[in-house]
Amino acid sequence: MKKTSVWKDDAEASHYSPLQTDLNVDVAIIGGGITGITAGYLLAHAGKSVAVLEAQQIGGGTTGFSTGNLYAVVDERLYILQSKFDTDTIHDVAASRTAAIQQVENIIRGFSIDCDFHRTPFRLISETEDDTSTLQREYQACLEAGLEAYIDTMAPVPFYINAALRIDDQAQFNPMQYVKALATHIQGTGCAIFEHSKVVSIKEGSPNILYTENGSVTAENIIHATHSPKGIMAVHSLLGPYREYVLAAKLNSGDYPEGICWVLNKPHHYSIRTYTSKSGESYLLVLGEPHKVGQKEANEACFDSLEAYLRRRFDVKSVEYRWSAQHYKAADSLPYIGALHPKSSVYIATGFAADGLTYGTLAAMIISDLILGIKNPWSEVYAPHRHNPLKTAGRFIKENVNVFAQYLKDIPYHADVETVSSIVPGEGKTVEIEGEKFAAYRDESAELHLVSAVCTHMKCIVNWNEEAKSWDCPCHGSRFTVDGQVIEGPAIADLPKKETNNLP
Amino acid sequence: MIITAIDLFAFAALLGVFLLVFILKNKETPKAVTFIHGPVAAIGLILLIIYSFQYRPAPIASLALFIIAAIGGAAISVLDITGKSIPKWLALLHGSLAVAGFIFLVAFAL
Repeated sequence: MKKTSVWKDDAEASHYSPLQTDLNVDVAIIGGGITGITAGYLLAHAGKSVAVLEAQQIGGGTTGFSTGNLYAVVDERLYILQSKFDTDTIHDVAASRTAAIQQVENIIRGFSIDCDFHRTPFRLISETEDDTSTLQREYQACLEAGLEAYIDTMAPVPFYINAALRIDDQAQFNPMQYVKALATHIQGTGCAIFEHSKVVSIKEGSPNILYTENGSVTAENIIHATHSPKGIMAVHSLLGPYREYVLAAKLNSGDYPEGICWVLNKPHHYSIRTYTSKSGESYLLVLGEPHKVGQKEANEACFDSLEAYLRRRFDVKSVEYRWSAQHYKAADSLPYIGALHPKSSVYIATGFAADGLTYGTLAAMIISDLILGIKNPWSEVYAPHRHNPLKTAGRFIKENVNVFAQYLKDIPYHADVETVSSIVPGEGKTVEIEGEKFAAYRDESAELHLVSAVCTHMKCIVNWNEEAKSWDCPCHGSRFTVDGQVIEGPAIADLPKKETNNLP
Repeated sequence: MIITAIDLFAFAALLGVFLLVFILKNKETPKAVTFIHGPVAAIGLILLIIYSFQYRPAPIASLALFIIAAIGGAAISVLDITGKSIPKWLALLHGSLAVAGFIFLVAFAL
């Protein structure tokens, strides 16, 4: 079994050189995922000079760990959005997300991108009478949002269903192939792409300047296309970071279901789809078991639960891939897309929940329009500076009480273990040395990797992620390698290393 | 009410001394202590404000010192959480003002 995503394994590596000079452009984009590359395309196509700075490789962040589904509905349910907002809002959400799917298709057709894009039905499936009442509410909301929805009593799955909500003409694709191909087409056409160019500092102002290790980009506008914006921003108090797990399995029967299937289950649904690789191998993908980042001990068990769920419903031959992905839920269930405030030249795109491929594309469309001075019909719906305290209060309080509780776990003279010598190979534990907390990981060759356990974003104590072998911050979702390098999340600076000589 | 405020300020002071040691040694402050110290002191201050509205004479000198100390404490918290270095003089000034306020308050209560 491979511990990577099927998308990453089925896409060719990209080779863009790191930023080695000082550039001056109209728009600097932090992050080379679907949001950043689509925005780069739209802005360069409109004549703007653009630089995309990707810390790893194109699509290497969240895009490469997604499920490759594009749909008009939302993870958090349209009927819940409708109850929070109104029918006009869910109409806008459905229309904007439908437009984003069409945008993806237009780009694919325009550049003849080979990424397995195909239109397919979306199904929300209930297995129980209780879940069917939820499904009925979502069905009603879909109709009121202007979507052509149907209730079926059958679905192309090999297990009993009570009912299925169906929406035709949604889409699936290989997100890595799409983003990498789009990057290839836009590179050099007004858009310069740099990989392995982590932004180490941001100077906001007029102009804005992004600094990397070996160069800088001066830009009129900055787009944070990093899922969670980099640095300390008020919007982080409005976001809840979550991780989810994905398995890609082969079936004995060879009878793989078509379309996007969300199977209702309390408290979360499972997302199921089929993917056929370039070599013709088919896989059944199942995603589920979400939890707050950095707050699940022994998270390997999430894969066990996911596999058990899969095996109860499908004739599984073998699990071939497994990976995990991160998403951020917005306090009022709508993403934050646009300028930080009406006169700001800094744009953010976050709070997509598990709907990031569609919302990422939509964010690129909205932000591009804002920068180009084109009126976008949905910019106000998703504006980050919107004020709706009553709609926001519930999750805002829940998430920030949770953050406060995480801070209270930073008790002096208390860590996972007293000495690093008690840490066995493959294990990560926090340890207190001379009054300071460190994150210690002993690799399989017994070498100790020791970094500060204090998150460089807002100073929570990081927790060990057993599955991904990373240090994850339970407060705002920053993640670090065992050597302290930022993987994702709002943190900009790496965790400082500590010498491992003369340790207790 | 004033006795409860004194008790809370005394507890906050103990935690504050503990935090000050970390700051003076250029070490990360334990956030559990930081986030107990601040709210405990804030509750003490609120009680003192309520007392000052309800009774005469009011411990005005003490109240003024605690309010200035609280502003300093809030500034220190923001600097700490946002990863900026905390000026040692600010931490010492904050502590000194709070201790002075505490002494005035105890003297007032006696």
